[in-house]
Amino acid sequence: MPDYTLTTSKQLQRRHAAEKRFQWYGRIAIAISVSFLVFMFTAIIFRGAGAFQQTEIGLNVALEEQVIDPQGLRDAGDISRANYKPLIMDAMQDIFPDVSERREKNQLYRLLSSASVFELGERVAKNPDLIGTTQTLWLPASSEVDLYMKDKIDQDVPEELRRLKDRDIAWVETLRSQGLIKKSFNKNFFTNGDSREPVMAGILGAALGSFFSLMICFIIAFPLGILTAVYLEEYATKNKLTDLIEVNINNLAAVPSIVFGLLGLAIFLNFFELPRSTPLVGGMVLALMAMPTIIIASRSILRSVPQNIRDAALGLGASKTQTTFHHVVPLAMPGMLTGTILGMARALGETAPLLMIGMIAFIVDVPKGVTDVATALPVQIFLWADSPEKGFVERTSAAIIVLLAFLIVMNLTAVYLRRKLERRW
Amino acid sequence: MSQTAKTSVDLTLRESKRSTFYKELAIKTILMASSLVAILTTIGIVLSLSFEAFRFFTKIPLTDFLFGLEWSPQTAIRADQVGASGKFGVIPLLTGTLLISAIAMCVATPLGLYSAVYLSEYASKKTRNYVKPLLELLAGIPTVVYGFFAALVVAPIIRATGSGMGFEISSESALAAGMVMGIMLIPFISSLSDDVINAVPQALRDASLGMGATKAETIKQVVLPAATPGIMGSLLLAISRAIGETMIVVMAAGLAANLTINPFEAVTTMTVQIVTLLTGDQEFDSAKTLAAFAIALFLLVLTLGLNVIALKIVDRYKSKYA
Amino acid sequence: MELSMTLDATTKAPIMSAKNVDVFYGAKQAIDDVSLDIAENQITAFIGPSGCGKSTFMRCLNRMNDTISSAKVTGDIRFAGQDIYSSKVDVVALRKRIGMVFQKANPFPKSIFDNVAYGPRIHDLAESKDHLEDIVVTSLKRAGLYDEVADRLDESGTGLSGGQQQRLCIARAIAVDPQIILMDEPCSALDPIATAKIEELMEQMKEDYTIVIVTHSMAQAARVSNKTAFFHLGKLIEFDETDTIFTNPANTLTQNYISGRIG
Repeated sequence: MPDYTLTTSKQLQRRHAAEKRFQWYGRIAIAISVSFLVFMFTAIIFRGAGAFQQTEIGLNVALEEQVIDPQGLRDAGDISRANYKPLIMDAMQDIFPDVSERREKNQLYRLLSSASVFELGERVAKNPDLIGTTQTLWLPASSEVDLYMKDKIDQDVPEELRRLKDRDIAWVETLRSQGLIKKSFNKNFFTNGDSREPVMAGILGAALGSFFSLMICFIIAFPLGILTAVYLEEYATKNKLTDLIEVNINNLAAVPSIVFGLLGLAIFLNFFELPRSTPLVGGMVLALMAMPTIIIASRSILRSVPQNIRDAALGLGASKTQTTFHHVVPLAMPGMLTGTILGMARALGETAPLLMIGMIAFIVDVPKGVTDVATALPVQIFLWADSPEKGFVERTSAAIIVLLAFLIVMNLTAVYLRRKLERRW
Repeated sequence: MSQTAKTSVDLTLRESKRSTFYKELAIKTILMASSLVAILTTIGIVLSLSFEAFRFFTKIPLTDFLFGLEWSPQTAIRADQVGASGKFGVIPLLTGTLLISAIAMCVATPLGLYSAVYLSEYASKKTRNYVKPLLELLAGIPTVVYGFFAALVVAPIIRATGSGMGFEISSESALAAGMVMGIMLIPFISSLSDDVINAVPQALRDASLGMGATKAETIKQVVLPAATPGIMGSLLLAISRAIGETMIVVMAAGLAANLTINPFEAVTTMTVQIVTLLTGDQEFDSAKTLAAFAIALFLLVLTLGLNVIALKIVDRYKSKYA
Repeated sequence: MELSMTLDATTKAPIMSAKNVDVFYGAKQAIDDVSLDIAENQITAFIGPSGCGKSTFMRCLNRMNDTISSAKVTGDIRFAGQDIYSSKVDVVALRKRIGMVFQKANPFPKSIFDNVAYGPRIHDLAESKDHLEDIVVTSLKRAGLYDEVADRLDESGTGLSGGQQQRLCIARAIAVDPQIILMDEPCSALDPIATAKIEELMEQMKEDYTIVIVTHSMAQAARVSNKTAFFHLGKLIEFDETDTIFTNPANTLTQNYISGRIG
């Protein structure tokens, strides 16, 4: 008698359990990958969000003329360079009258960022009418105080290992109780170049360095990339040279990025003697890196333009060039632009090749052009990440948030372009 | 129609044809010239690396470089100084690189493959549309971000876990760098494997399901074996990526060239040494700087070799089912 | 005993019966109210013009339509009295009982031996290595392929000729010892000689298995089957003894198809 059972047997139960397990392995793998992504993003946002705020201490500073501008010349340069330290110390003294010892006074003064004297000088120079008056001014607090206000100092650490001592903390608490300490939007982070002092360090220099580099990268890689793609798709006949070019492009896409940096160092810097550490050279190196991506993407777009469009144009008596540049390329342009933006987004995140051509220097000044010495956003992240100062941890994370924001904007633009402009055949 | 009119018509035709011909030729030349930039780039890379590497090998013998077990590239300040001649053996760098790459692949292979299998065989279209871009996002994050995360978050966690279990783990352990690199590689493996798995003909799945195999049995015993060459190709590409990766190891791995396969210890890699040798003060002709080019040449040969093999395997696989 | 067996052969309940089966692909109806019975140890042929639903209906019989997410099957299909779409039925067990051979030969990219051993291995049918070998050899012999491949069992199954590949697929299906074998146009990609071999094979297999064959070729249906079902536009037009269908069809549509006026 044959067996007609269709219900689950013991053996089948085991096999179905194996099936379930297998599916769970897949789900778990995806869950791990995605949760790592979430973990990384939250860790960075959590660490970096604080950097968009900055702690300031409010002081009633008497801006005495004989200290700031004894001759009354009102020269902006002299005013900004005047010695504001005693004025600030006096203002501090007003808040803490029982602090009298010199060492303690200096300690008190150090609650402020060492850059606050320069900041004060600049503010007064901009507005000389303030001289002779007493103003309530908010000046940047030191990095340690800033971290304390953001609850980022572990108070369980024994006092002798902390830079912010118990007495400093007591002072800060006094300021807090009097409403003389507050957190406000950190404008410096977006308007300054790099600085040795965390509270004064900003990303504008690096962001402009990246911008200029990408500009150069676009100017070189976009035309070269699409012209190459057009040549390979529309003109080239299959021969040894074409094969060689294709093999080259595919292999270049796999060359480690740092090797492109060495190419830039040996050829652009040492052989052609182009200026070191500049967005010009950085952009050229990035262009060589981005080109394979742009070519490969553009070729697949050109390939998707239907043959009958070419046939129609050729049939009307248009030449090969007219057909290509009047009909095929315009139709493929949105897609090629999308590919280029994606390639540039990649280039924006590249660090290693830029290190090789010297865009790693400590540069305070904001670059004004492609031949100014500069750094780039990812390199700035690398530099700050390397810095021992604790205040830079926050800023590194904040710089990463800014970099990721740029990347997201570029990728969304590409997606938008693709949705809006690209044709479906 | 008179005879003269006819000739003039002919003439204009010929003239316009000629100008068109030159225009076409000029444009074709421009196009071809721009496509030669790719070749020039390759030539530039090969020439610059080999030229500098050649100069390096005039100072340090090739065999010392390839087989040397010690790496300490400091150059002498005084001729009679201790350790005056730096040691330029690439082996510790190679083992360090391979150790970190191996850890990365141990993380990336199961995660990437299982993700690819789940997404291509089980997930609904909707899940796929959400999860795939999310995984690909991992490949779009700049590596400097991974490096920062590895050094600042992952390494301390690993260290703390290790000391909790009684292991001494270096703060620049190969483990931290390798694990984070592994996460970065997941999308490289998952998206290529996904393509490869999708290319396995439905008929094979039907045959297996039709005789009462479960889906998992079908995948494990029919789909994956059929897709093996393509999957191998994707793994090789990921390894090549891991070997050439720079920022994660620069930020999270160490500088000390330890010849070890202990993942808890600090190791250094080829890319880390290139960066170390070429950033900071450099005199251009010293063996120390030139060594960077020799390492880079070695790295290039390694990654390109892997890449060529990988692409060959994938191509052969594709033509099998095309 | 003798008597009961004869009685059995004539009055026995059909091994499979379908009642009022509808199949939808999304909103499109592919099968419209089909009812038919399949008798044990006989060859039942499904014929009809392409797109008539004969393959779709056959794929309902071992629930292969489950693999297409948009497909929805309603109605009642019973195997040995059990509703195969019931929640108690294990589809894996069902497909072990009801095997399938496909239109295009689809051997796995494995050795000939591993192809045939695949089913016994997953269903854990062999008690030992020798037993497994035994199953493989018997299956290959039953599929009439053994003599051709006996000396190269470890070579890849994809290296065989088209007809051999299809017989390998039949051997692979036989190896799990099913009660019914569904064949979806098994000879459509084969030359006449290979086709003749498979038809001969089906005639022998009939003794042990129930066979359902979908075929595009009326001649094939006439040659091999005991009963023939004619499908048209998702409906079962006529189902009867093969002789009757081909010599004296009741329906004019069937008559037109048989005589080559439609299709």
